[in-house]
Amino acid sequence: MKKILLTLFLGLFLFNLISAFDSGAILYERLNTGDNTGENSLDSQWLAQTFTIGDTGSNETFNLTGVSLKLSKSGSPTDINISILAVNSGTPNSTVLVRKEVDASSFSGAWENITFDSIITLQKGETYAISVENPSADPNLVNWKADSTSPPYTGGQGFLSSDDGDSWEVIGSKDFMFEVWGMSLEGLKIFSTYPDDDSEFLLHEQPTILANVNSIGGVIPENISLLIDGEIYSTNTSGAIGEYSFELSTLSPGQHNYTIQGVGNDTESYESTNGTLNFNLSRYFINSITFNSTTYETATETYSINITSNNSLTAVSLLFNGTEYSMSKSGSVWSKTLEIPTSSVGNNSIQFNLTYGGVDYSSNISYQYVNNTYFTICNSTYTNDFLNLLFKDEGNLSSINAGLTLSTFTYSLTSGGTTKEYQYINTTEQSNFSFCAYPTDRTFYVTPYVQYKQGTDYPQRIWNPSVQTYTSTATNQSLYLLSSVDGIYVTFQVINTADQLISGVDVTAVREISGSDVEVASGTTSAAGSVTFWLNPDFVHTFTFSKTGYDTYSYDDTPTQTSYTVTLGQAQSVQNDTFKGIKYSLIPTNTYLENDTEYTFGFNLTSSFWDVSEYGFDLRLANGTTIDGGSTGTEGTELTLSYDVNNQSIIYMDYYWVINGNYTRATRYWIVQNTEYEGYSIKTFFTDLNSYLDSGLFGLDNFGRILIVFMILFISVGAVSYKFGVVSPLGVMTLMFAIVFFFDVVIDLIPTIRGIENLPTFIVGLMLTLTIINEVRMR
Amino acid sequence: MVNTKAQSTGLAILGFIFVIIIGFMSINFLFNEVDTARAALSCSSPASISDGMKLLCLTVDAVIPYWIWIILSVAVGLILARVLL
Repeated sequence: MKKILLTLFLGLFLFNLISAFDSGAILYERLNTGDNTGENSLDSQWLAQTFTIGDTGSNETFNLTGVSLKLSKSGSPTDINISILAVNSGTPNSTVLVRKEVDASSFSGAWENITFDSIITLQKGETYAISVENPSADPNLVNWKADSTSPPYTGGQGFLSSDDGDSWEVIGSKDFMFEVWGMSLEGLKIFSTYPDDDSEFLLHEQPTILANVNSIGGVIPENISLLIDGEIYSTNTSGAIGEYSFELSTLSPGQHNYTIQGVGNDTESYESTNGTLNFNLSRYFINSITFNSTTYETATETYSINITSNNSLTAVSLLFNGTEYSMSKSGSVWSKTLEIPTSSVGNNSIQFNLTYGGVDYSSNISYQYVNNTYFTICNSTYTNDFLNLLFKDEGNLSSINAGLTLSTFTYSLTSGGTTKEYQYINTTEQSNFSFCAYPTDRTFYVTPYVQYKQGTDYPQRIWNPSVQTYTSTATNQSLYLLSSVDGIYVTFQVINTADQLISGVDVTAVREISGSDVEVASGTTSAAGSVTFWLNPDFVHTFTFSKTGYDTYSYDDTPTQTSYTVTLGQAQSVQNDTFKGIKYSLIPTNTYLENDTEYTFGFNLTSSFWDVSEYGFDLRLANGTTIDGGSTGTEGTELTLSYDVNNQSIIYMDYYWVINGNYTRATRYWIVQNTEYEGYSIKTFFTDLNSYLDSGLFGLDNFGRILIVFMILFISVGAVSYKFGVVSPLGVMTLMFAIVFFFDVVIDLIPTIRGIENLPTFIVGLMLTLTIINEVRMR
Repeated sequence: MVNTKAQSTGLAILGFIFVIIIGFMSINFLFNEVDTARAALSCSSPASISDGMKLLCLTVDAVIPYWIWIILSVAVGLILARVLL
């Protein structure tokens, strides 16, 4: 009776510990692939699949814990029964070995795991049957998936009963999908628990392989070994039952597989039940690569790659069509912004070069297609107008015709970036000229230069403004011409304060037309320092003269004379202060570093004045070796680099920022202190003294400390006064202050009084100050 | 004529350098001994050692600073003895 109870208890215990499909369970018999049909169970129609132990699994006696069946339903069948039946002469009979009621409402054609509530033992080599019994009537069906095309399972076959399992008939060559799970009765049960199959790891984070070893029947593991790629990597001979861990550290990058094997004291060899599993070791993970698959020449494009790795990954560069560009790092993302050169039209290869541990590795090649960018006179191909040039008479504001003796448009998709040039000449006079562009969804940055006139009736003028932005919403630009009878030629000669002619001065003439200021003439002084405009002498114009290095001069006047002389003053040399508005921080903030310590070096910058296009830093060692610290184009990004200063004596940080293409560079350094001998200094003596006093050396409390210091003070001052004749109040007070300062501040021997730090020093310092004042006052 | 004052000052400087070099070289031998003594006395665990041990630890702590003080005293003494006397 006790034996039965013990068996029952153990059975229940095992059942609670290990459900049918937990890691310790073993898949014995199975037909789990190739389902192409199914059979319905309903009302008194039951289905069964026989199986023979040892056909597709180990031929051993084991405890059945559950089965998996591939089931679906239609309608709303109620609970169904899944049973294990005894088999006579290959045919199921009505003897139920174990039965489980299962809710069929969620059957969807997937595998259903059925764990039996009690454990039965199935004998090796014997045949049993799994039956599916759906008591619901049509149309509430349960369908058991099956293979009807030469099913490979040879240990049994599919059966159908039309009388609630009293008699069974073979269903042709149709086998149902099933898996039989159980626990072996004895031996070592080894299961690899980590990592899962096809796991990925970084090289510097090689996984610790975990396995679970259970013993059934009292078998003791004599050794458990980890096999990597078929070779024994590590062996544990502890003989323990439970979890085993094997640390990896020496594997090279690449694909590996592992198996756990063991030998029990029954001299049997065992292998992990989940077999050989694969894992991959990589130097780095490329999480994502981001760039546009198509773009346009002169556009600005950003290429970024998100990489997970360690500090061995020191640099990443972009290979754009074979040309290498260094990339800046922010977090795990490396990026580079390029202006697409005009020579890149077509397919361009994009690849990233990763420097890991001093060796270069390349990413896969991707491609980016670069389209042409056009700004041209509108025609049948380019019809989306961006700029319309209209001509008007400056005198009466009427529309007139004119021709373009020369027009040049320097354009780009990037402000201040790579440019293309388009030249157009058309002397056929017409009321307007329309210019179109491609792509039509981008903003064009265009610097126009237009010479226009109408024969001899309207003398030529030049329109040459600074960079303009145009989009597919057309911009109408009125260009004014002045009739030959309404204007005069006005020549401006520009000189400096030394009466020397200045060439290259930009001169503009602006007048108000219909309430808005219109630039009616513009030009640049020649080598003779002069420029001539055709202007209306009846209206006030605003003339502006500017040249780099000179003060810009502007004045209003009615140009009634044919010539004017303008003197430009030399501009005061104003140094562009590239520190203006720049706020930056460097870490670490302390000046001295300790050797053999890893510090995070960082540089962060924001600017409230300049547009900083890039900033970054490098670390430099005393021997000149440079360690790349990183760079970014985003203000406020904290650039950091962790670096172990080892036994360096000094670390330099060369940091910079770029404003309008100009680099501003600066350097900061940290002295690395060698703390190797710090523990032998007099500081250690006083640190220990304080520590021992705190722990109650000779029973001394705070009062005792103060008393000792007072005695030292009393004796020292007395001895000095006696020996060297120092008796003046100032001398005595100075000596007292020095001694109190030493004990209170330097070695911190005097305890804090009433929570006020260094109170004795302040009091004696105050007394010394009063004494000095008194001495001065008496003289 | 030999300038004895200059000669003796030169000798004092040579003596100063000799004492400094030999003295500071000898400190290297003390480092391990101090470490061994501090470990043996459990100087870093004041709660678990007696007051006498603590005094001994303080003495050990003072060995190297005191040795440096002796070296400097002897070396400077050599100079001052020649210069002042």
